[in-house]
Amino acid sequence: MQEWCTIESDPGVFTELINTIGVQGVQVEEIYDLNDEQQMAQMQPIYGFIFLFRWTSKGEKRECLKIYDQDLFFANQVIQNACATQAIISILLNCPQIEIGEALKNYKEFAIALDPKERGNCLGAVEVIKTAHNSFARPEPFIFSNEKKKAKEGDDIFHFVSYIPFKGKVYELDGLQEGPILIGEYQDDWIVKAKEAILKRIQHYQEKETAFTLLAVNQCRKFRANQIISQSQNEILLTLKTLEFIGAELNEEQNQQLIQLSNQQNIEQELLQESKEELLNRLNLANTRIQEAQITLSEENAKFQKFKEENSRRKHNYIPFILELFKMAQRKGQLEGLLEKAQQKQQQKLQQQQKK
Amino acid sequence: MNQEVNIPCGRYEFNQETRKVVMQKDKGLLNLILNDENELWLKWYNLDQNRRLDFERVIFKGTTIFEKVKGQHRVYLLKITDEDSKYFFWMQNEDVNQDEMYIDKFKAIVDSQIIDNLIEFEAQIPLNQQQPEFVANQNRQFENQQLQPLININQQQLLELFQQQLYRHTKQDLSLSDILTSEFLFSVIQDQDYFEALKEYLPIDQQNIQYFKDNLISPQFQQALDQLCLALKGRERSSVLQQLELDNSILEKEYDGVIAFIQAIIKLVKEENKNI
Repeated sequence: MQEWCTIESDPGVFTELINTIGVQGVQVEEIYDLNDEQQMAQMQPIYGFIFLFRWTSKGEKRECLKIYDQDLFFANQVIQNACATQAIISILLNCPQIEIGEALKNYKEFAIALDPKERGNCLGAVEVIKTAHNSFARPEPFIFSNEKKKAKEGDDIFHFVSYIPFKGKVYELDGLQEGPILIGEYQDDWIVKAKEAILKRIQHYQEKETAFTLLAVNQCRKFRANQIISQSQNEILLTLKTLEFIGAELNEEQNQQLIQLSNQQNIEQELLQESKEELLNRLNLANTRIQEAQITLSEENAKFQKFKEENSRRKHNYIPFILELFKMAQRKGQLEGLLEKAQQKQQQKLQQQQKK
Repeated sequence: MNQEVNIPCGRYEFNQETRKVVMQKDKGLLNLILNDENELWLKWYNLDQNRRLDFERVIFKGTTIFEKVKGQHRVYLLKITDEDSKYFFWMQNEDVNQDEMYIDKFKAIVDSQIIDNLIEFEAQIPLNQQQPEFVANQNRQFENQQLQPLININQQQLLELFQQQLYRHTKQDLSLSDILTSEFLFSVIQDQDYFEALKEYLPIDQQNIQYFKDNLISPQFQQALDQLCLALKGRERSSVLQQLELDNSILEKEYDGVIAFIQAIIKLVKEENKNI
């Protein structure tokens, strides 16, 4: 059976991975500062957090729940190299607002009756997910006869854990633990609770100078911007119709907008309660929202284009390119000079080191 | 991944006149490292002299013994059996009980060196008649080049390790990035000939001039360059050159895989030009 490969921990990789397995309207973003209110606000709604940290064999034992809400989907990580994908899936499967697509729906329906270990095992059999995951494996252009090296203490292996809200409680889901870990209950904003737990963890790893990263799984900003545009356009349409109805004179731009936006015949009764000034104000606000959303859309399109380009490069084998580059350098009579120059520079460096 | 141990200990020095070993009082650190190239490097740093490197040599599994000297308090002997060399150290860590722990770790690292197909070695190693200067300098007491029988080291691997050490100390350790300087890559980006030759090797959705620069400065290109460099520096560099359809016989004269790669390309293009 084909193994699961290591993939890069990059928001662009994870976003494309999610989209490839059929999930709609979700993206992954890196969080640089949990206390940055502006960044956090722009990311809303956030469905879950993923905390990455360097794994050690001396793993901390956490207090896990043995009995928990049966609707909470928890799976053990049994597949090597799958922890990133599994952490993301843990969030997706526990968030009813997300349209998770056929593959994940089928997996959840089948696996819900199994114990956490078996759920983890079954994930390995979901071809769509495994194929999507492995599509991000770095090309290995050379095949050597020696055996694979086993990871040892000090090697760069990262582990991923998720934080999610679920029915009024915040949980930490770590596939290497026996069950979910209850962080605490929340009233309105689960992020406050999750933040406490994450900041505590960050502090712990900062003291040990261990590398870590924090990601958010949130609503795709493009998706949201499109929603805002659509809703605002609808609101503009209704407002213009109402203005027309009450006999207010529309300027040329407003007339154009009305023509562009409408076939709708109905007029919202509540809009009729508003004065002309209020309606015009509503119009301005909706137009402003559309402009802001279009800026967001433009930025997100550029970001996704960048993700696409980077992901394309990640999957590409550059060895033929490199080989051809060197050949061209020789054809152009440059290669021997480059080698000589590099050797001279190294020689100088070596001499300086020896003097020290 | 390197395996390493640092042992706080002082040295004894051999007095040629009196033919006795004399304890040196300086505080020191004995460092043993098994690196990614499967080399065991032993170094002793003089901590009282600003961490000066006073002693450095390579050792091998099968010919290295490190043990406590009987009858002496906290004195340990490092013996290289194929040279009959001896080095004495005295432990300086505060906790006496840790001495054996350090020695066990030392031995474990030495044992980790991979030597395949161990065979009994009964004759002198057929190296060049002139021993590499590096090895001769390491131990001036080494007069008798007759090797003890029953040393289980693969001849070819020993030769390779010696070549590696010699190379490291006398030649440059070039990487492909040293050759493809930023200055050169900048000129490539602006050269239409390079673009025309290379565009088909770019990712399929990026085969235009706009992406040419982006690819050349991308971390993915750099990673691939590093990967290739690592492969060329490794033990299977001959196989790497073969996979790239380059002449791997160049490695018979050029030990360094990167330089051999460049020379193979030069040769290939020259032959292409001859055939035109």
